[in-house]
Amino acid sequence: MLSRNVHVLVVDDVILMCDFLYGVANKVAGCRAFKALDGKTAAEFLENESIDLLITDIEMRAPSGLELVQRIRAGLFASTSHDIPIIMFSGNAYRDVIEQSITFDVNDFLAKPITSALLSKKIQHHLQHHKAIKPVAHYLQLVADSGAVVSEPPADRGFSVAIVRELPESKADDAEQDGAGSKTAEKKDFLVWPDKATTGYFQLDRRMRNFAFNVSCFHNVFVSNCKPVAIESERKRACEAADYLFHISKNIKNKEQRRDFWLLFQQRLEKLKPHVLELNNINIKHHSQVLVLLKRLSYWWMQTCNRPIIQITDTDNEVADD
Amino acid sequence: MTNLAGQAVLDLTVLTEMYGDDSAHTICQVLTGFRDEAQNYMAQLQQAAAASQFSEVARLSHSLKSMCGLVGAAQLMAWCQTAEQAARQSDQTVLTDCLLLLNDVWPALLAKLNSDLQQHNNLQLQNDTHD
Repeated sequence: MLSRNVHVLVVDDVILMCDFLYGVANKVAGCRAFKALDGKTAAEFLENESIDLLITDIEMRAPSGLELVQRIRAGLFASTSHDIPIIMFSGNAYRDVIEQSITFDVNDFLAKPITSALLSKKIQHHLQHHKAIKPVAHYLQLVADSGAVVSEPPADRGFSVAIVRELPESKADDAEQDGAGSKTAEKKDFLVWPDKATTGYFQLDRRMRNFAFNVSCFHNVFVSNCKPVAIESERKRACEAADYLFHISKNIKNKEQRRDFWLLFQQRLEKLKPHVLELNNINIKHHSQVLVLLKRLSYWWMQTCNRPIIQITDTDNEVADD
Repeated sequence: MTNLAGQAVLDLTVLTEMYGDDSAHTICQVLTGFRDEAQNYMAQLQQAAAASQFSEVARLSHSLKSMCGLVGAAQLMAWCQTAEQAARQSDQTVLTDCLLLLNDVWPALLAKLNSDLQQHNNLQLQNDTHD
């Protein structure tokens, strides 16, 4: 049995409150908490650890909670993904701060005081329900527009969530996609991530689930003969999801000890790479070629989503509690 | 100014609800942590207020307010709320009145903290002996 091994970072400059948050987060099944008493320490954690969920106070000495959020969403931390769930809280609910939090797609905004039961539920909820977060470029632009001083990621950095390929999408594409892609995706799941399954890494589970979802969307718009622009849009999203999966895997692998797992998983990823390359270059007008590729992806998924790569999680209670 | 007299000095039911734990061990640990940290804040607050450093008073009152909310120190929490607002508005008159009130609020809380701590420490000792 594996646990999800979710890394939760709690940030508050009041020791008592920080310890409280740390205690609550550590008690949530599958979670391991880190605590930081100021924004600077928090930034170091975000840079060096793969953090899966952030809980932060807003009002702290620089960098404040909001500045941390801006940096995360702008992809400026090497080890932490830009789209992690973020829970912010404060004793004062100032309108402008809430508005800025919404702009940067903060997942939840809590007003103090917060009970342990409520916080625990919120953590579980945000680990299980994913919010669609926009690409890094969107938030970088927001930061630039607001005039906030946020350092650019160094050009020579080996790892950055910001290096994940982001294809520009026109507004027309978005409209088409919203109208066709997401609706058809609900009809049927082509690739399915099994319930209560885990690789033992929360971020990997997320990326695998995301990859399955995006390939399913592509499959559904393709077999439903939707407009080419919608199919193209879903194809790009599926490729992006795969890129993110490759990137996150490489990032986690460098820090983990489970050698047998990584050997096997790496082999599976190597087998996926040519399929993704083909997906990237395929002409969607060549119907039969696309169908063959989809079949290969389905076969790859079937072979990968099995023991010993994925196992049933031992955190049943977290689902039951929610 | 908020009526502080109607507020509880220290309501431990708030603490146990917040932590979801009513064991003597948790109560002692939290109250000790609160007492030590609050004393530091209190000293810094008085210094900042004496120097009319409004932003610092607002920051410290804000932090202290969240700590009070965690342990059920309602009276001091209401005081912090008033002090924070006065500091944010740079209202020296209200702040001066606030500081005078603190001479009653803080010693009352400290006395209640010490007595509750004593009581729960004894309880903890009894539990340890039974175990």
